[in-house]
Amino acid sequence: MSKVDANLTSPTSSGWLRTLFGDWMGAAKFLSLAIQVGLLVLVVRQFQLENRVFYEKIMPLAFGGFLIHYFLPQRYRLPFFIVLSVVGIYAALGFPNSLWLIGLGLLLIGICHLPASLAVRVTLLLAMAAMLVVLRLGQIKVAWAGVVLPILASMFMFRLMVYLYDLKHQKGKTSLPHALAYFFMLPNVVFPLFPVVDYSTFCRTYYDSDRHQIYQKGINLLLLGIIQLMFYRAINYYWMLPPEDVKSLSDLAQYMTANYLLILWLIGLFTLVVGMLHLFGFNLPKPMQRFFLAASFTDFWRRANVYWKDFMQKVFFYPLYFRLRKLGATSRLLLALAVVFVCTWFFHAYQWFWIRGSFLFSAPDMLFWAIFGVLVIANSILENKRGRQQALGQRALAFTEIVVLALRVMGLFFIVTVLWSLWTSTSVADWVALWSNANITLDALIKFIPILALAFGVFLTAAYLFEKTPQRAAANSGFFPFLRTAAVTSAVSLFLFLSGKPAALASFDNRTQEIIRDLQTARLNQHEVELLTRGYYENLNAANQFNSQLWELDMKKSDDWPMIQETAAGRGTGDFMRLELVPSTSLIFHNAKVTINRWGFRDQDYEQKKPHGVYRIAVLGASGPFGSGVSDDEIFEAILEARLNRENGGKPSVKYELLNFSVPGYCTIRQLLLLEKKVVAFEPDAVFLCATPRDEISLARHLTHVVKDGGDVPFDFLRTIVQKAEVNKDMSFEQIFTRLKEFGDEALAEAFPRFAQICREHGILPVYVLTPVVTPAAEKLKRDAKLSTRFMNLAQAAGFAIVNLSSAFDGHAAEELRVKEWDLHPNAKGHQLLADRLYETLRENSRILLATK
Amino acid sequence: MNEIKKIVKDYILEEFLPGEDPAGLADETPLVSGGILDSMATIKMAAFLEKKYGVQIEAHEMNTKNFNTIASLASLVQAKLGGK
Repeated sequence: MSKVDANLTSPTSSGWLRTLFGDWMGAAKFLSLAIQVGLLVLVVRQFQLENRVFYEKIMPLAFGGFLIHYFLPQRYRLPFFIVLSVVGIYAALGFPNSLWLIGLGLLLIGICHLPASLAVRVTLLLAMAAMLVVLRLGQIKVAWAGVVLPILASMFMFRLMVYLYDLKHQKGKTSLPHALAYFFMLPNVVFPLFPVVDYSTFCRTYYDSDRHQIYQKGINLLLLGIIQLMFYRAINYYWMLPPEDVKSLSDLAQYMTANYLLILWLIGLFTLVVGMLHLFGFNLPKPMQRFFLAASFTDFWRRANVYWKDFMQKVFFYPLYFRLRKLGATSRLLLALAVVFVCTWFFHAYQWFWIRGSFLFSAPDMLFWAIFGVLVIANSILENKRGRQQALGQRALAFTEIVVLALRVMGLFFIVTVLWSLWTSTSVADWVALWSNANITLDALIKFIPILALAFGVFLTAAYLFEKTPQRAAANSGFFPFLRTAAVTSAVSLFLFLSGKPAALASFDNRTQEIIRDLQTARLNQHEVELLTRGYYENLNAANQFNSQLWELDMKKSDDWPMIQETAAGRGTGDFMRLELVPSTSLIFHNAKVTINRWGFRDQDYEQKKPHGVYRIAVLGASGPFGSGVSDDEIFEAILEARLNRENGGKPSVKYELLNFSVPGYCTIRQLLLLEKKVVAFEPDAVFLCATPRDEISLARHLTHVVKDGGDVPFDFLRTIVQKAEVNKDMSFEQIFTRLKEFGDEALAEAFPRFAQICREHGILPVYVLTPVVTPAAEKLKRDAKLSTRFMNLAQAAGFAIVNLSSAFDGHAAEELRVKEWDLHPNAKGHQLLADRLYETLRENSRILLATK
Repeated sequence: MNEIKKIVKDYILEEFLPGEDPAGLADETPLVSGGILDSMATIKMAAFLEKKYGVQIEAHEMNTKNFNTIASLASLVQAKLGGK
């Protein structure tokens, strides 16, 4: 305590104040801590960080727990933290799942403490792991496996290794409360990606300094984590480009930088976790140390994930290094580091398996770790020979040294972003395509120089601000510095909280309001939505790295969520159509009853010949109008048909029939072929071509598959497009897709008139029905609106009547209207809204309902 | 013990902190958590101690507790010498 603080200690503190807080300064400190944590709870909720269980249950629980924990005598704090962690597990998983999790966890801890040799205990643990692998793979079906095993694995898959290591080497220094707190620690239940906390550090740093300082450090970390997660959202929503949109050097730079900066999500997550642990006395180190400012590969490795580096060092590097004493220093270093990187690569796949339940062995992943490993090893050997000078923090860097440092940091940042882009690519060919699509020419490089200069300015400023003087921990436990920090944290938290309130929002311009609202929503970006949508039709792991929230969404996805072609209702055709529905099948698909009639479309069993007096509408679309995720009678066309007949029977037609020819994944070209081959035979009076703003993408993807498979391409205009795009089956999927996507407009401009022409030839009224998509993405909606207008104009020019339902979902949150969190198809409510809007539009536009032959 | 501390301190100053004021490096200055000894430097430090004192440092002894201060390093060496 400083002299000033000591003088401020009141000798006349009342009894209760002394009992509870020691003195009035203690009371003030508690009050400021409680206010700060309370504000952070509100901010986390306001911005919906990171998942619902976290912001609705775990953060308030941690807050309440902190208030009680603060007043407990030291000996009760650890048991209380264990109880709180168990309550957290129960709050997140519910009764049976939490029981399984805790039971299996206790069994694993119990095995570690069996009175047997280490070899026996390890063997038993491996046997248990093998049993859990079987459950994770779904070889034996148990209801709790999908929920419990990723969390159990997250708690035990690495920490068990550390724990066993410490049990072996620190006999008598482990205790059951520490072990329980270590494995079941509070926020882990909602964060499957969790830092590998070291057991010794966990125990050693427990209340290792002034508790108020530890709590305040935790609050600072929580706020830092929140800000990092907000930056992640801003980058993900507004800056991240889909790889297929990279067409120039500046696009490439934007893509690679944003792609790398998405790591802020993981940084923010880990910082939140460590911050929360501080609230209960665990004075753990920061998980990442400003690694964006690393100046060498070893520096990057040391700073990027401190916990992982320490884990590798302790369990693999040192044991191997010291076992290889007979070798020279360089050979030992080389071999031990090589093993570290092989282990890191393997454990990444191992972690992926436990959390996702699938294997991750991809060429980009292996290449990334191999290249990165070689670079770190080479750098380490060099450093070991030359030595790496440190400073005691007494001397600030000179300006020239800062300039050199900034250049090194920028160089390393560039190399890491390149490597990162490789790591996150779906294949090496796609990564190569990314570069070739960027059209890097000398002229482009020259034009890029100002951007490089600007980037250097940013690095120089950052190096000056953060690296000028070496960081040394200088804890100041004085009362006023404490309050100053608390005041700043409270002010920032309050600002963040209030910025989202309607009254405060109103003071910003519309664009800023929109951004603030958007940042308060956890959503996918445009590219992720497209990946997710693509996953409905293709066997695709939408997320190939732990680099975005997409994998979390994938993880939640039910195992019983197949593509239609994986069920009895869908089959391959071997031609351009690639997929068709199997006549006369009935099954449960995505929890809903699906009936395919004898004609091979999802509807009632209509007669092919249209009965007299019937007004018949053929509905053509993809998975939305097909009714993916809703039952037969919940599809909008079925609802509309019933309503038309109920409320309009005989006016003007005797009866209305809506025939649903929609097939999941079908694009405009396939619908054109379907019209020709199948639909016209049913003599419809009108054809509703149900489209979304994503038809261009859907068309390009389908054509890409056909080109990649070497299949026949129908229509001259499509063959011309394939020629003009200069694509062939030897190119990567992404490369073909990127090029074909450029011709989406051209393809639609040709397809619409053909569609309308066929309709005219058969006396059918072609109607272009623009349907909305379920997504909360504000940016996406704007883009959608632009595309929709373009497509509607094309359709109108071709002779289609236009029905615009794009605002049918307005005023409803995506959560209300989607089938599942991982499936953005409209649910029953969404279909009802579509049916209602379509009914109103048809009533207003009687031309469509009167267009009888 | 003081002799070990002096030798360790001289080694750190010479190897890792050249040009720094020796007065700034106290027996309790945090070496690992303070960023003076990183993993490479820790290995060098261990190799130096092994060679200088003829002791053998084990992998599990390569931790912050033993390597974080000059005092803890000296204690480690002392314990090993005492146990010989």
